[in-house]
Amino acid sequence: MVPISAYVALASVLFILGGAGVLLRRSPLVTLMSIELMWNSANLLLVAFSRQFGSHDGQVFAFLVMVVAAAEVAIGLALVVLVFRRRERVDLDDVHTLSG
Amino acid sequence: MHDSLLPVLILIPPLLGAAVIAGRTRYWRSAAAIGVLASAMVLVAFGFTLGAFVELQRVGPDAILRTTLTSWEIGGHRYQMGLMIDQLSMWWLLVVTGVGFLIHAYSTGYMHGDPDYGRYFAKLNYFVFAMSLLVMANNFLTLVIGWTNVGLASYLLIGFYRTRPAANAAQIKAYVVNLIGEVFMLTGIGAAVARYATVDFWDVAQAARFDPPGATVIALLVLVGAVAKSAQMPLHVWLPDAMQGPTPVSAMLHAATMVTAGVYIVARLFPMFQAAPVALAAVAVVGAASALLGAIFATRQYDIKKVLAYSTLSQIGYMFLANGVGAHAAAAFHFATHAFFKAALFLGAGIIIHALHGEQDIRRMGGLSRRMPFAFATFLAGQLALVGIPPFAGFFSKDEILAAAWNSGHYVLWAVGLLAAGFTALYNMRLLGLVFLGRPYDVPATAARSRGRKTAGAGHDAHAGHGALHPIPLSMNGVVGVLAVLSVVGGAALAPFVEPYLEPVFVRNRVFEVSTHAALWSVLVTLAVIAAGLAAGWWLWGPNGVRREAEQRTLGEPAGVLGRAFYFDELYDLVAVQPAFALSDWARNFDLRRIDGVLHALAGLAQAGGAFLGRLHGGIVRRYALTLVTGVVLIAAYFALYL
Repeated sequence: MVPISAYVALASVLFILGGAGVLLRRSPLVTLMSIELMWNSANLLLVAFSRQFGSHDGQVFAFLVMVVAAAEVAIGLALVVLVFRRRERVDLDDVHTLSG
Repeated sequence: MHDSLLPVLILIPPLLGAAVIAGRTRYWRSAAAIGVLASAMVLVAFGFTLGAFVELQRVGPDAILRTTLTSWEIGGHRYQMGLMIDQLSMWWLLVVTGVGFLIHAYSTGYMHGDPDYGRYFAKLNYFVFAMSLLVMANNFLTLVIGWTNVGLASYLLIGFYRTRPAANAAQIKAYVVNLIGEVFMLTGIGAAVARYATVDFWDVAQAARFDPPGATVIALLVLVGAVAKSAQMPLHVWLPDAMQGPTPVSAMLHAATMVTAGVYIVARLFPMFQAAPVALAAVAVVGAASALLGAIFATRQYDIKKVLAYSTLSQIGYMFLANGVGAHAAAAFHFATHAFFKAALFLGAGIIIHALHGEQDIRRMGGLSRRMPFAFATFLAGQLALVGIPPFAGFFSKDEILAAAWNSGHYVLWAVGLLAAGFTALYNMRLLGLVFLGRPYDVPATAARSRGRKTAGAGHDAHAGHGALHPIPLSMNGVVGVLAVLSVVGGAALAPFVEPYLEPVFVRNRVFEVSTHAALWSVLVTLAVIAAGLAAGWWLWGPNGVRREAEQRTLGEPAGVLGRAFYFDELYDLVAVQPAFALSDWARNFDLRRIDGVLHALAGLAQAGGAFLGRLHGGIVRRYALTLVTGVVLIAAYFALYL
């Protein structure tokens, strides 16, 4: 049996990779994928701990997270498409017309 | 005490005249009507004054005519504000309204054709109102109202020719110097209220009699106000400059109103001054110094009006001297005779200036006795009265003052007054010699220039004073004639009545009065000194005088210690005006650099903070994410390390 610490380590690596992607990449598509990576690291932990403690709550939460993630990505992609239509170019750092 | 409406009735006509004329000055079709109305108003006030005189005689010598205007209560003390007429007020009122009326009548001729005729008479009426209020005050509050209104009236009239920078400077100077005096005076009144809880003259004087330290402080503070108002040393500097006003205004200021207010208030508060020997001595010293120095300065002036201005300073000095040695009846007597002959002199000077198309420099006159015999006769009468030749008016009052100074034991002050009489004779002989005697002044073609507003305004050319004489209206000659007669007979006529008439005031106030009956030897000494002054003047500035040619050759402003009047102006400029400018410059810089600087720094801080916070909300998503992550990491680190 694979020890729980391995799952935690993998999840951490995935989360950090996702976080780095969000912070460093300027393309919204890559950013969305990086966020997906962070969601999934969270899901991995939920499932791993669920199995560890013999409860199904974590697995249920994992499905819930996937649904929320799908919805988020749908909105995010719609925004990206709209921004692209307006500007012929998509760069997260350029999109600050709503700044204070 | 006798309640009467007459004090108010005296005040109303001049105030009404001022209001009506000033309010509708543009709608008056006829300038003559304005002058007649203004003069009539003062004549009505004079009529009421005569009525009050009769009333006062009728109710008895100890009575006071009184009107209560208002009264109120603060902290259990009852304060009453009103008007009163006793013999002392009466004496002043008769001169204020009587001579004031003559000056109004004269002005109708002198100001004829001036575009601001209405404004002039409104101000002149206002002046009479303010001065009447001042002398009828029964307490310090009413007094201050009259006092400051007189200051404002003089400010308005000195700057009557408002487009002349010199007139503007002169009016401001007069106002500021008087304001300095008023600050002291108000401090004195405040001290009186704080110590005695009353503003009534009588009550203050009563309380001060048993409180020498308080009396000394209050009397000295009030004295500074009186010195400023009466242009005595060392606050006399505004008076020569005040000659920028129209000539009848100078007569008004010097003869009937303004400058005599200081003499009046010292006489009015005499019980308090007598309780304070220091203040009393100060009055006498200030008076003697002003009498002598004013007379000395007058010997070096070239502007005919400035000679007369310094002469006033000197004569008011005599009145202060009289008050200071305890001869207040003599002071009041000299006030009246001085009003006659100084008004005659100023208005006579106005005739000369008018006839010469605005020329005021006595070096450019000469030989006028043949060309203007009437003006010469009347001016000479005024001069003889001023010098104190018997039997002209000034002789009686001045000899009374000198005798009082001797009788009171102030021998040094007596000698100073005697010397001043000599200098008075000297500068009057100079005036007479340069203006009326000798050959007329030859105008060098290059030196010919137009002077004065009348010259410029009427289009007369460079022969200032040597072309045809400007005709003199009857109103001017008539008034000067009346005043000249008063200058001749006024002293002898009033001399027997002054002391008995004023006695009730001083008996009521339990004030000692120095006997003023001059000994024969004192009169002879005075006359000898005057004769010496006249002889010296004749030798210097007579038709063949040794200084005559030299002075007529040098034109321009007088220079030297005497010409600049001991550099008082320069001294004040150095010790007061320049430091004030420096202080205000410093304050301005402090305000701009320090105070504004601090405020700008605070504003900059807020702006920088705002810019910093603004950058955090730049709309750049990745920066938001970084902030978020940093926060999470910090919280995580905190939990990891401390929990």
